[in-house]
Amino acid sequence: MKHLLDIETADRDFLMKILESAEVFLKVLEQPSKKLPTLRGKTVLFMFMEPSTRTQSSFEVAAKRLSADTVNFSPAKSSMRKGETFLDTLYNLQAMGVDGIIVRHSSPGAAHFVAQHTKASVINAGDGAHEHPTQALLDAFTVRRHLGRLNGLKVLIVGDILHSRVARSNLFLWRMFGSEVMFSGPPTLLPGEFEGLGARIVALDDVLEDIDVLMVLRLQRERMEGPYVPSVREYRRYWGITRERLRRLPERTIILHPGPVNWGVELDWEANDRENTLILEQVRNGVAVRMAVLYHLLARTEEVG
Amino acid sequence: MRYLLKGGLILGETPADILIEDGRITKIGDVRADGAEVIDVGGRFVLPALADPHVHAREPGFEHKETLETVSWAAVAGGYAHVGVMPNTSPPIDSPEMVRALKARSENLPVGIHVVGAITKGREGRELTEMGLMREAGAFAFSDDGSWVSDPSVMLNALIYASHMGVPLITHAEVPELARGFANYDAVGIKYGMRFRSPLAEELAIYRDARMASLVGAHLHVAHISTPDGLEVALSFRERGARITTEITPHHLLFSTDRIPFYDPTFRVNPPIRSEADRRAMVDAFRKGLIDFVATDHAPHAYYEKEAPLTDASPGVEGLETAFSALYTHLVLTGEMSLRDLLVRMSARPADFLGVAVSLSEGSEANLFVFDQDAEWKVREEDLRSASKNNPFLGKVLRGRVLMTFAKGSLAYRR
Ligand SMILES: [Zn+2]
Repeated sequence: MKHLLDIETADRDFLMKILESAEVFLKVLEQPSKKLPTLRGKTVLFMFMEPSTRTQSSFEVAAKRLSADTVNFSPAKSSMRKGETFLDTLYNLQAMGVDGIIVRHSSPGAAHFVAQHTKASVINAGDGAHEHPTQALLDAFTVRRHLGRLNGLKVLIVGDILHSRVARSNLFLWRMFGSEVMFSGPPTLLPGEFEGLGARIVALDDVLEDIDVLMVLRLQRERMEGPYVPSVREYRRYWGITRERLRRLPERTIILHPGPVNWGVELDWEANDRENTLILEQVRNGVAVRMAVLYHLLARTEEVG
Repeated sequence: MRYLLKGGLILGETPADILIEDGRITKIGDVRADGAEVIDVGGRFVLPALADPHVHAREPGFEHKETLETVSWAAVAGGYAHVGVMPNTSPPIDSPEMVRALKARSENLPVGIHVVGAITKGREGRELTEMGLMREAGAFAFSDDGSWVSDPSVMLNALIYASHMGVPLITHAEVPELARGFANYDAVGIKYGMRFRSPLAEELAIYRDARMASLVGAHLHVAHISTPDGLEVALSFRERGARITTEITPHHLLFSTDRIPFYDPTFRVNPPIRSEADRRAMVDAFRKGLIDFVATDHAPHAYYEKEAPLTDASPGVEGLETAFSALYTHLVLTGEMSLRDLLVRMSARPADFLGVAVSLSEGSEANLFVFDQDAEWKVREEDLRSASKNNPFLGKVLRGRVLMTFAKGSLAYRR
C-alpha cells in the first residue's frame, strides 16, 4: 500500500500489519530512549487545512520518534489567503521534496485528491465527514489490547453519526474484522441509509446491557441547539451517556471517545471511575499506531526500490 | 460558395447528395458536381445541426473561462449551429443595452448566439428587469440561472409579466436551503460524508414555479431537470394544461453517483449527479419523450477553479463538444432510442425553443453536420476547442465523431 486514504477500500492484511507493528512501537514508547532512526532523511509534510491540535500533535510526535523531518503548512500563515490555490500550494510544497503528506481538510475526498496529484505517500488525517482512518485503527488497537480480539464484538457508536468521519471509519473497520456495529443518535443526525452500509440503528436503552465497545462521539457546539437537536438537556435525556446509563453497562464494556470530550454533555465525568474507560490510553496508543502507519508507508519505499 | 456533399446518409438512413449554394440547401438527391467543391462524405451520416438553449459563454466578466468566440468554436465542433447563452455573467445580462451589445458581438461568429436575459436586476431576486425592452433587443427567454428566484412574490410577478410579454421563464429549480452542499442526497453520499443538495430541493422548487405558471398562464421552462419526482410534478401541471417544458443534460442522463469517483471535482455540478435509480428513471422518461430536449448546461471553468477539493471546486461541466457523440454512444447504439428520436431532442425541439428553424430540406439555410458514425475516439484535452477543458468525458472512448458542421449557411468546422 502506498497511501492510507480510507478504511473502506484498505487492504485487510495491511491494516493487520499496522496493528501488529503498533505493539512494537508502543514498547519503544515505554523505553527511556524513545527515538528510532527508521525514517532518518525522510520528510513528512503536514497539510492541515482545518485546525486540529490533537491529531496533528499525535502525528508529529510519531514522526519525530521515527527521526523524520517535518514541515508544517497551516493556511493562516500561508499565501492561500491571497488566492493561491490548494493545488499550487501542494505543488510548491512537494517541490521541496517530501516523502509523506498528512492531510486534514474539510472536504470529503481531499486526501484522495492530494494522492492523485503527488508522488509522495498520503495519509488521510480526516477529510470532512468522510473518514479518519488512523483514528479507527487506534480504536481497534486499544480494544484488541484489552479484549484480545477484533471479531465477534458488539460495538455501539452514539451521537452525531451524520457528520462523523470517526463513525464511518469505525463502521468499515469493525465490519471488515467481523464485528457488529450499532449506531444510535438523534434521527436528524442518523439517516436510515447507514443500515445499507452494514450498521444496525438501535435505541440506546435497548442495547446498553450487552455491548463490548461503547464509542461516544463529540456533539459539536454548533449542533447542540438548532436545526438538529433542540437542546443539550433533551440530547442528554435520550442519547447522553449519563451516570445512570454508565451503571447499566457491563463491566467488560470499553468506553472510547475520539476527544475532546464535552464532559456532562455526551458523556458524564463518572465514566472515569470505570477501569475500562480508555480515553487517555487512546491518545497514547494513537502515537504508536501512527508510527506504525508512517513506518509501513515510508520506511519501505527504498526496499521496494 | 457551392459545396456538394457527396454520398452521405441523410438522417443516417437515405443515401443522397446535398448541394449547398450561397448558404442554402438547393438540392438533395443525385446531384452532379457542376463546378461545386465536392466533399466526399461517403457512407457517413448527414444530420440537421444541433441547438442548445442552455450554454454559459461567460462573457462578459469571465473571459478566462470562455468567450462568445471560443464557445462558438466548441459549438460547431460538436455539431451545433445555435446556442442560447445564460445571463449569469459579470455584470449579469440584465439590461437591453447588454443584450444589444452581446448580439452585436456575435453577429459575425460562426454560430447563432441567442441571449437569455436575467429575470431580476443583478440576478439578486428582487426587482424585475426590463423584459419588454430586452425582448425587443433580442432576448428570447429570461432566467436567473445559477440561482432560484427565492422570493415567491417576485417570481409570481415575473411570471405574470413574462407571460404578458410572450417570453418563457427558465427556472434553475433548487430551493437554496435544501441545496447548500455539493452532492446528491443518497446512500453513496451518506457513505462518503458529503454535503448535500437534496432531490427534494428540485421537486419543491418545481412545484412552486409550475403551480404559479399554471395559475397565471406563463410558459415555464425547467432547466437541467434531474429528478424523477421533480419531473412528475412538472408533468402533472402540464397534464392540467399548463405550459411547462423541460430540458435535461447529457451528464444527468449518463452519470450517476455510483458510477463516478466520489472525490472527482469534475463531477461537481448543480444540480448534482443523482443516484443510479434516478438516472435510470430519467433515461426512461427521456426515451418516452416526457422530457422535451437536451441542453448541455455547458459550463466552462479554468483548470485552477475546477481542480480542487470538492468543497472548493467550481460547479459545472462542459458539454457542447461531446454531447452528441456521448448520447449516440450510450443511448442510440445501446438500443435505448432511435437516432431520429435523439435528433428531435437535440435539434428540432431546442431550435424551436430558440425560435429558429433547422431542417434538412431544399430551400433551408445550411445548418447541418456530418457525423462519422463508426469513428472511435478517446476524448483528449488537445481535441477540445473550448477555452476550458472541464469535460466529463475526458479520457473516455466515444463512438461517432463530428466531421464537419455547416452553421448559419457557412462551412464552420471541418476536422
Ligand atoms: Zn442552472
